[in-house]
Amino acid sequence: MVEQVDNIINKLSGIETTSLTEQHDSNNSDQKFYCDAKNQEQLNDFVDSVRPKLVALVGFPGYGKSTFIGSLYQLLTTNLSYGGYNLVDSDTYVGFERRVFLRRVNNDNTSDTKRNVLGENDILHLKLRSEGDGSYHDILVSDKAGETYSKYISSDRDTETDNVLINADIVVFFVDAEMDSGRLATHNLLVENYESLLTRLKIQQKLLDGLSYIVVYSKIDKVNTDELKKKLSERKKQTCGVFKNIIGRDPESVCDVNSTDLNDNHLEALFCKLIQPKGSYQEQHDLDWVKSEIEKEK
Amino acid sequence: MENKNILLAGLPAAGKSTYVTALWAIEKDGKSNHLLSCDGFPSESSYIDGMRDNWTVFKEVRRTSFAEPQEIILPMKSSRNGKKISLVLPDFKGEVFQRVLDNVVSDDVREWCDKAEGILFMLNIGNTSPDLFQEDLSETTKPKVEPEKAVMTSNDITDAIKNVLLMKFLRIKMGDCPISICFSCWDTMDVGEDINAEQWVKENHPCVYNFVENHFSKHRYFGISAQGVDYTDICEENEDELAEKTTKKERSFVYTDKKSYDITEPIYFIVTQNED
Repeated sequence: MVEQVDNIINKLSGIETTSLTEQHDSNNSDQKFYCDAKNQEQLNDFVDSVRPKLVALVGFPGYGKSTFIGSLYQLLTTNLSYGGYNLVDSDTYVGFERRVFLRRVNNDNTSDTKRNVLGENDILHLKLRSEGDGSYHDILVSDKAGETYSKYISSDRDTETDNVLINADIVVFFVDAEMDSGRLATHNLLVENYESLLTRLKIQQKLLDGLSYIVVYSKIDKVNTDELKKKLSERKKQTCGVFKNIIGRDPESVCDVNSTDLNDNHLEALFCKLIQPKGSYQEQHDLDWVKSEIEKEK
Repeated sequence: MENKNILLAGLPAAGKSTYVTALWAIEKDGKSNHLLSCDGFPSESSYIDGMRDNWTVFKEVRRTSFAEPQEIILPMKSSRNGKKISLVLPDFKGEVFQRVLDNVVSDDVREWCDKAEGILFMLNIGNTSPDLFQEDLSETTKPKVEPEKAVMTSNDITDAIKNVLLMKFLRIKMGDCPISICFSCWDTMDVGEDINAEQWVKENHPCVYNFVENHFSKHRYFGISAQGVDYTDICEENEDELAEKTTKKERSFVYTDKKSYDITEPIYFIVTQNED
């Protein structure tokens, strides 16, 4: 068992890619902590004989991406087994910890925009072991700052450098349920923003045909009156319609979640789906997927 | 006599110095009949003698303050086969290991990772609360810190994960070497006799357990009480009784599936793994 992960741990540790010296540049968040989050250029470091599953979390500032991933991390680290898998390692423990920390200090009345600073590393890693057959697999999660996607709306220059979405095995789009069920103007803005984002990504060929995606309505606990629930139900059709029209297919699922409630059944079902190894069809991809993308850029 | 270099590792206040102090105090006369006991005096013992004084009179062993690790060299003998070894343990400041989390690795740590054949990994049970993230989701307990001012430091990393990170670092540097994982302050635990140390770790520290099980093929879990007692519980009425226990070598103990006064067990586990 140990031998199986021996080579991988040495490769993925970050020790080879992170400078283990007496000095570090405190201004460089890449090197501040051991096992911090990685950037998209380091994705290839995770490729061994099998390509890891890549999950992209997409959403605008304050839509609950980091809370969502922080909760998954919390469940995996505080349970011996979750969804049939043991968390045996992560090369980005501190990347997760940073999200948990920021969630902890974030004041409810403050915009979430301070949670993930623009340009901060977004790639998080989980190494899981199946309780069933003892096999290992890796999951990579991209959790970019919401501002990144706000910038994508308006600029080709920003979207064309994104190498995550085109390679993602599944994309999770976040919709702030509180916002979508609130004022009509806010709902309209949300829809317009996603329309613009998806259109630009499509033009830039960053969304694969037949892309697997899930739409997550976060903060569902804030939709707590019959009136709000009714409004959300009606508006969902329009919001989800935007995804379907541009991506060209229905979402795999539309989930209402409260990411701060770890007993939420919908959340659990979604997490269990995300941490499963990818399907065999996805293993046909070129192992040098990101590298080739970067080479193309050059 | 063969040198046995064992890296004594752990974050600040993990109980590293207290453990080596108790080890010296109990085994120095060579009369314990434990798995290992001292076979003569080391040529230099002023560092551990200084700490032993406090341990004997139920005072906190002072935390290591030296920038350099203090190397403790003890000539020891196995009660099983009479084999003699020279046990070498470095007493590092815990902060040296804490800095590994900040990507700062001292030359001494590097050197010890190269030469040690096993790891004696100490965790303070009090610093690894099972309720890792309990505070996270409670609205009422959220600290009111402005996010703009929230700068994360390595101290903000969850205690259990700090230990996993340090283990991961050592695993990469040292390979799949034998490791004894020792939870200190075991006397403060109300574990009872129904559960063994491994089961306790599995239930209370699943992320530590999962990491160890999947990365170290030769490992064993121990509960340890080097102090033997919470010093704040000592009063005039019970001090003599505890001093008596010290004399009988029944103050410090280790716990695997039962209580044992032989605190050399974690070291013995490591030194015998490579003999097989």
